[in-house]
Amino acid sequence: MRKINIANEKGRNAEIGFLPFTQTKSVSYVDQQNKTVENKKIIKATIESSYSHILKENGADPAKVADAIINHNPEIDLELVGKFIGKTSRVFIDSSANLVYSINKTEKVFNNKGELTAEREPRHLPANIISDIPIKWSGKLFKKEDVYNKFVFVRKYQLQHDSGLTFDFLFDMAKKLHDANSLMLMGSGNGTGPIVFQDGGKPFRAFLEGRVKDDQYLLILHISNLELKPLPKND
Amino acid sequence: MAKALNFKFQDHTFSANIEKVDRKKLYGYSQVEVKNEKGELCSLANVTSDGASILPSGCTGIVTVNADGHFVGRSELKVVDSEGKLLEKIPSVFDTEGIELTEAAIEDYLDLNVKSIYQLSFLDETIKSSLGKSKVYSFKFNYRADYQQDDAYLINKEDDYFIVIGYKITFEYVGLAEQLDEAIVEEETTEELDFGMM
Repeated sequence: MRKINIANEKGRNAEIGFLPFTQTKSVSYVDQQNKTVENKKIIKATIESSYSHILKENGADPAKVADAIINHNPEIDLELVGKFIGKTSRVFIDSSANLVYSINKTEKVFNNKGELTAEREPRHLPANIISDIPIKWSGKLFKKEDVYNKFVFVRKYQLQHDSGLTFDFLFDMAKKLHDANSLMLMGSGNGTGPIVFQDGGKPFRAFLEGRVKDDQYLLILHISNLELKPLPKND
Repeated sequence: MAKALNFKFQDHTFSANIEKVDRKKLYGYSQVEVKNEKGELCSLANVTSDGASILPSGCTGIVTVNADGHFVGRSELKVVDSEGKLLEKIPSVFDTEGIELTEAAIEDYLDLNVKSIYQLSFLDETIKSSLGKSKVYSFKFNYRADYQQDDAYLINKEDDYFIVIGYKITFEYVGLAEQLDEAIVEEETTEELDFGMM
């Protein structure tokens, strides 16, 4: 279970489990006998069977390439094509398809017109949801009717207790937010900083929503990386 | 330009063109360039687990196989629901005469895990006064003919109208008795989002 270290408005914190949501497939594919089928990854081609390799092997002469394809089938590796492959490792290769053991990375930043604005070392943000410093309530409440169309809440996580103590902690949070009919901005630092779910991951704004029904609660962490705003007009 | 969407709302019918809204168009984007020690550009490739084959981009494919491992062509496939009932394709919303809009609550919209956003441009802007502001309307959306539809909401921000598409999560309230088990949940591996607004 993934956990997040969060603090309430009094600065009391606890490590809380949270659940992601993925879309469950309601349809599936079957064959003509109504038996289930599955998708498998296969080798479709190899470096040696690529056009650029065949061209190089034949002195960049298209006529020789045509002859080779007709007489020797270099474009199909009969041993490998169609072979199922399981897990693979990712490597970097150069233009000659040789493995590269030492690399330099540069991050190029483009504006929304596609113009290069900066070049920098790629930034690597450490995860901050389970560090010593908890994700805090910022104290900034946003009424639901005011905030729903300001940001796009791309994903949701449900926070849930794992003991009687954390039940009280979370129920209390949910009740306050339910009564205020508002979402609370939460984050790193003083509560307004971005949250990063995993090392090297992207930063998000987080908003906590609470709902209460009798003695049950629902705490949803909405995360956003996008404001809802119109596209820039073309000049 | 794509076809216009045709909506039906109370006694009104109206049409709108849509344009996708994404981070790249709003904030720009960044890309990481990888070079070797000689300054030559490098690209990513896959290596098979036995180390025998290096497979650059485009060298792998996906095939559908049956329980015996034999290839099954797309034309031989049938689509069924969770109870095994054969399904028919639902036409694209662009081929639908009138997409029925139903007024929804803000909390319904907040339950949506978002996949995509489109900005609307109405062919006749007078519909804005009938739709009103700070209202949320729900409908079903499938860009192409498909076997299932996404949940979609039409909302506005000031004078601009958007449709937000995704899948609505059915959350369950929890009481003291429903505490989380310390089960191991697989970490999410996809993290494709960026954050340019900060």
